Amino acid sequence: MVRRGVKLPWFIREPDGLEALRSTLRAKYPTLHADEANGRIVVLGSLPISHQGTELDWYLIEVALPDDYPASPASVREVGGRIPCMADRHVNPDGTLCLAVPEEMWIKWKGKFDIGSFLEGPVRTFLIGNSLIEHGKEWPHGERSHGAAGVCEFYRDAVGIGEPNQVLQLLGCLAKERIKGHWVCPCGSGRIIRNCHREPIFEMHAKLPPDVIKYSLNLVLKEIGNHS
Amino acid sequence: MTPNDYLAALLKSQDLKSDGEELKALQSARADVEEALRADFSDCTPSIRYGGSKAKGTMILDDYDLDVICYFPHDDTSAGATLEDIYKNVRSSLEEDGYVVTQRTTALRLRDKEGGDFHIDVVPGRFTDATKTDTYLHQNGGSKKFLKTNIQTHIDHVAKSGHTDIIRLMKIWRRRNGISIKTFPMELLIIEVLKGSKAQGLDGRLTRVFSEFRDNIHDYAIEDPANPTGNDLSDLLNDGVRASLTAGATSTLQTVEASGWDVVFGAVEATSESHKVAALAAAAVHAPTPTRPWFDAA
Repeated sequence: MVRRGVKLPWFIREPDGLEALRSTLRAKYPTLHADEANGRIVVLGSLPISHQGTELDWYLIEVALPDDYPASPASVREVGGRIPCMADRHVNPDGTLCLAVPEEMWIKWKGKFDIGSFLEGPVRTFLIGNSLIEHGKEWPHGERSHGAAGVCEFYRDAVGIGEPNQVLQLLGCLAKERIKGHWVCPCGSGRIIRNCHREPIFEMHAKLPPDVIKYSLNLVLKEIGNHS
Repeated sequence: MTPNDYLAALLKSQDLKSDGEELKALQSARADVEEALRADFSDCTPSIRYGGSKAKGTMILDDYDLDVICYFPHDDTSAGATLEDIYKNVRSSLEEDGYVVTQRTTALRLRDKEGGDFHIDVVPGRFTDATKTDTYLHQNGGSKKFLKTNIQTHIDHVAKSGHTDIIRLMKIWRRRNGISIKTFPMELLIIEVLKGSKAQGLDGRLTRVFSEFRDNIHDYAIEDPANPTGNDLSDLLNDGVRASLTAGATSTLQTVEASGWDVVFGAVEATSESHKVAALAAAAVHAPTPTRPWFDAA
């Protein structure tokens, strides 16, 4: 019996989707295999890092697909014991790789997190970076600061608003169901949104899920509270 | 390059070179462990030697570790009255020596205080009699608290099977495909599959193994060559493990048919460090939508 209000996981709602996933893996990632574990689909195996037909490296990874796959990003762990579980290597305490500030993932992949896009996008970028770190180099595209500071850096780069109190204002704005163009722009210019940062703010509002905004808002709020 | 040539080159690339950093580090770590054990148990004169893949000739670079066997005389209880006491006392002494020790089924895995892996498992046990051939090992979990085995029988069974090369290839495959099966049952299964087979060469025998895994996995049973009636290995090759082998083998054979072994196992061309770094940097530059890693400090 199905309880009301309980949404079935994607692979139960769409069995063809699971076969399509397995087909994609067989065709493009033959050393990755999808299986059900604890009510979720987990993709496990090795992901090669190749460039111009040459395999440069490979990682043993485990990708746990969310219940609403491919609508939101998966979580990924490196399970070969290679990447130390520490903040400076961008591995969360639960072992998941911290690929990017969540907003960055949502803006760049526009909510399309199919396995191919996910692996070829943020996962591949992260693992290439890690391989370079292991060779004594730096993260090729830079790295975000930890926690709220990293979130603020993202908004600085994406919108031009990076000072924590202004980011807090921006997030408060983004958290509203609707944004009005006549509101004062959170950047502190004194102008209204319509005449200031209209385009990036409206883009963010359209693409970012409410829970992502709320999470960042709480993170930045806590950080400001800690420093006040 | 023919399939056999490719597989031979792959095996060569997986050798731990005698002058390589990995083997030097292992040997150094093993020497330290042996010194510590002999000092801690100076009253008992334990027998300490290599076991596992080093002794069997099946080590691979992708996934190596060293089994250090530490067996005590049958009539000496100074290391512990019971097998469990021996196991716990060896664990305690290694911890006092500064190792971070993790319990496994019969072994003790060693790490350093920073979490670095020494790639060493210490296997404590006691000989059953003065011949120093069979041993009793304490077992964590499972239906029995101890098992009786013979390390030399295991080593000979694998090392003299004529199939250590296929075992090594399958260990590489297991690692790269995230297949969950312990090494010992996999070795036994491979030897069973290839017993009496007319398949030749690396390509032929490897294909045979994958084909049998795909088509006839349930036809095979394994038993401990050192104690076939006493040690039940069925749980090591349960239905879940068999299903995983079948699924992996099916996918692999499809890939080999379509694209060859190198897509299954990856490249084996030697690439200099500088070339690899340059290529990685180029790959990074070509990322269409680069992202910056973060850390959620919450």
